Amino acid sequence: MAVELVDVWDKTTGVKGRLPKDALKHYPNYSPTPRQKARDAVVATPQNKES
Amino acid sequence: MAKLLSDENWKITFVPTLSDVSNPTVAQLNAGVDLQCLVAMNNFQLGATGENTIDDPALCSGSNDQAPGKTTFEASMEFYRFDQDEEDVAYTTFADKGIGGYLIRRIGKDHRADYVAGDDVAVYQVITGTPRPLSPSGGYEKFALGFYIQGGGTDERAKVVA
Repeated sequence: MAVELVDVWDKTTGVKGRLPKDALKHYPNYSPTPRQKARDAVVATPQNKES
Repeated sequence: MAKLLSDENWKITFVPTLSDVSNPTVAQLNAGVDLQCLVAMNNFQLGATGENTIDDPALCSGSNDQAPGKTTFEASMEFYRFDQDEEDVAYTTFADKGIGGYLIRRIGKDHRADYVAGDDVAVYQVITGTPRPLSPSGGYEKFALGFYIQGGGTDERAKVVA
């Protein structure tokens, strides 16, 4: 299974980086960027899910 | 004056981002993940290992004069595996090749102490190689990982700022 990387940024500085999605929980000072959140929201919409 | 002791005084941290590699901030470094208890002392390598040698004698020279070329950095280490997901930080963070970030090394102070302004640190911008499972040898389960150090984001004499 491929490793899913997400765009993150440092909450204090706004500097962007990338982390494996499964590793995000180990970095509480980092959060997905707004663009990453938007991508995740699009993927999660019902019409994009396989029936 | 006293010599620095090494036991328990090596702190290795991974952070996904830094704003200034020569002057990382306390907040940025303490937001990273400490690796010194997740990595084996055996086969640990992090830092400059030398440089290329350029043969560059003058036309009139009777000897093969040489000059230092590009610096060579190496970073390779073996990480322990853990049965609890919250402890298996290295395995989940360095999950694939091509993951970027920074390795920070501090020596001479208790590894449990947080970074503070004024700490001397070495900063290495890295990209992960492919994680390699190690054959069982009777000890702890580990995986080996080589990092590719990027010279443009590396400063072995950086200073932590507030």
